[in-house]
Amino acid sequence: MKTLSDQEWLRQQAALENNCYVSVGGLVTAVEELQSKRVGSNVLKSAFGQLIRLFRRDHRMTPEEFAQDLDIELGELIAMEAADQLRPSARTIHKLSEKMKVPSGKLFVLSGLAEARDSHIQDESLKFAARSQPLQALTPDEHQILNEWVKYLCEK
Amino acid sequence: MKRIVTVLETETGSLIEAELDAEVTVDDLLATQREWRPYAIKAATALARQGSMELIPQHLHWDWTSKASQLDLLANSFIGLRVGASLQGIMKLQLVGDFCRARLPEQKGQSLIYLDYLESAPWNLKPLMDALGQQTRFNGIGSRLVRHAVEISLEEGFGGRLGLHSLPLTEMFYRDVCGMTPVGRDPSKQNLLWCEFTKEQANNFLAGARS
Repeated sequence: MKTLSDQEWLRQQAALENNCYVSVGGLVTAVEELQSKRVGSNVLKSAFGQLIRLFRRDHRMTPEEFAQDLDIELGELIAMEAADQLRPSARTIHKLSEKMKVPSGKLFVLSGLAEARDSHIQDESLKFAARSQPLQALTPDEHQILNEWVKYLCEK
Repeated sequence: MKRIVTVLETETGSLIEAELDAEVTVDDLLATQREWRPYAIKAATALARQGSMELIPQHLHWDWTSKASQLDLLANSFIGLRVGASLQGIMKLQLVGDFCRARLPEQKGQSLIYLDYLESAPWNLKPLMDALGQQTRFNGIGSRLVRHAVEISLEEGFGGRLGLHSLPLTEMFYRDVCGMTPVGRDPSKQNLLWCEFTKEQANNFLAGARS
């Protein structure tokens, strides 16, 4: 077997390697990390949506009224309350921050526009999202709205 | 420990002196990632715009700065490939551990070196630089690092035996360019492909013999 000199070897290998990706390792951890981040990000978004919804309800405003008050699109408000994957704009976060008197930095993290520097906010968000789910019976109005929505969904 | 080797400069086609440095520090690693990451993100964005999502390697998401707490454990065993002061590639080897046993029937159970991590600077990866309309800086970084891993395997008495888990996008490199045997998917490691060098394959790789 002919052994190439180091220079010949490198030139041959470089030509063969030219179109390849070569990375291994950290990749696996990165995939795991991404998956755990995705779970964490869902928790934050859920807490973000719940925070907005409860604030709005506490101020006895409909989504339309709240969107108008914030000067944002109704669709964006609905998406935020529903913890949709759609990311709100930075302008919207600043509007919410002013209205709710909550630091914009925290809202950026909750909305998924910025990464949390520690896991504390994620833990607290999880607690908030879990505890803020209403347990009381629906009001007659809510019951009627729910029934109408289900009826619509069941129509052919 | 430091060792002088050469790497191939793309623009001139010249062989440039480089240094294999087994004393990569935590600061080196973090500085490197801060330097590499914007390139990687830029290239990934370009690939996404071109509709080539399948060409975006998962390692582009890897961010060492978010893993700082683990670096103390990892730093001691990193090996960097430097040209001047700039790191062009990094790898991490394991000489002992669960993955340091051969799985191929003809060498099953024998000790091998496990290639735990290897990464080339994004500007040395042609698919990424093509997306940015730029030329790579150096070629053959992956091969140079794998060669060094095999040489360490020989020095440590493992006969050149080497094992690693390859992602789908890197299988071609380890199977076709290096000549490793794809042994099978490993359910304990996200079903990645376990690849292995036998003594003979390692020698062929070092000699540049093509099958």
